[in-house]
Amino acid sequence: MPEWAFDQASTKQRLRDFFSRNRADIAAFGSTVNQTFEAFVFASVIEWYRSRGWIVHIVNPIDQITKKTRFRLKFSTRGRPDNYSYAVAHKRRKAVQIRHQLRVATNSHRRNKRFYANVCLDVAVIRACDLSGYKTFFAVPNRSLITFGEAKHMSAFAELIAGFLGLVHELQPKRLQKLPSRPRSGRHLAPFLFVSGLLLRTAQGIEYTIKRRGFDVDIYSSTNQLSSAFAKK
Amino acid sequence: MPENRDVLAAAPLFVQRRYSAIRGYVRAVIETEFPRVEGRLSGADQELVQIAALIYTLYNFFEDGHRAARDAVSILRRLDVAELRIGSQVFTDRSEATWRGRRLAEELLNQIDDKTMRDLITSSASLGQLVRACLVHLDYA
Repeated sequence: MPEWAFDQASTKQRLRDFFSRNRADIAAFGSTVNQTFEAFVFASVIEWYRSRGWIVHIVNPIDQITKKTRFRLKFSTRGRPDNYSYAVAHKRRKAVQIRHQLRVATNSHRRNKRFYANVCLDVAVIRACDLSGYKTFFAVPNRSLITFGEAKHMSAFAELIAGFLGLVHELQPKRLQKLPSRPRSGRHLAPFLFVSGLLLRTAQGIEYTIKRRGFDVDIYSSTNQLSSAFAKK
Repeated sequence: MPENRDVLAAAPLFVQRRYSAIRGYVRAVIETEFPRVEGRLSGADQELVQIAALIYTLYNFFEDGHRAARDAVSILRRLDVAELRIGSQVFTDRSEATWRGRRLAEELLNQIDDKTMRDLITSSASLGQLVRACLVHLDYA
């Protein structure tokens, strides 16, 4: 075993100085890191399509002040989809849109009912459609949803994974049907949850049973795992 | 020797809160995996494991955040998106916002003189593995 020469007292003193010296930078880093992970997941989904032969381009909104187009992600559940950037991917005669924080109706939502049942998704892949008339609380019909991804900047525990399964149940319940051999989505990604931290033991237990049950969903922890899983094999 | 909470006095609040969670996690690993060690672990050694766990968690937090920013910028650049804005911060190939996490991770690691500990921080696959390795090095396991 290598020699253990860790000087706890000296390290603590230096750490204290490190925090004093970098307090503002650490705070700045912490204030944007959640959104950075969302942007990473959005970009990674785009890259999944691009690396599989889809032709992708970005559609940007026009800035009201400069009157020029500008790349702008929607880091909030509020806001008209039209005011934010999205990607359009084409392959042969197929076309999909990749959107950030898009509101999508649940599978059980019915029109003309008293309550709206919809969810804002971190990344949604939908069939190509025109959302220019959509307001903040308008939801894309569930039938337009192809797949989706959720990004959480935290370590995953059992309840978080169970919550994600609940989301899949609301949006695409057929993904949770028990099948003898799991038919992978193939042409599109399966709905997925990305956590930037660790998959804690309790979460690993739920993940194990997800695989055993053949659900068509994926769970990724860490940027490296997501990037290598999305890379074309 | 300063106590761990004094070390964190100048850290932003979210780091202090994270440290509370880390302490709980370290305790849980020791309780469940090393029940015989629990009563024997000295206060100083317990603080050592906790401070190592804090450094490990922060190091990976900075590194992961940097990688996420760098990869997002890189993918978007291929689609002619020159910059990504989050609030007032601008992320490009070389901007300070993109590289801040890497710089903080490196500077944090440089606060440790001992190579064995540095290697443990950078090579442990999980926080649990780091805690186990620390206990082995301290002759508890």
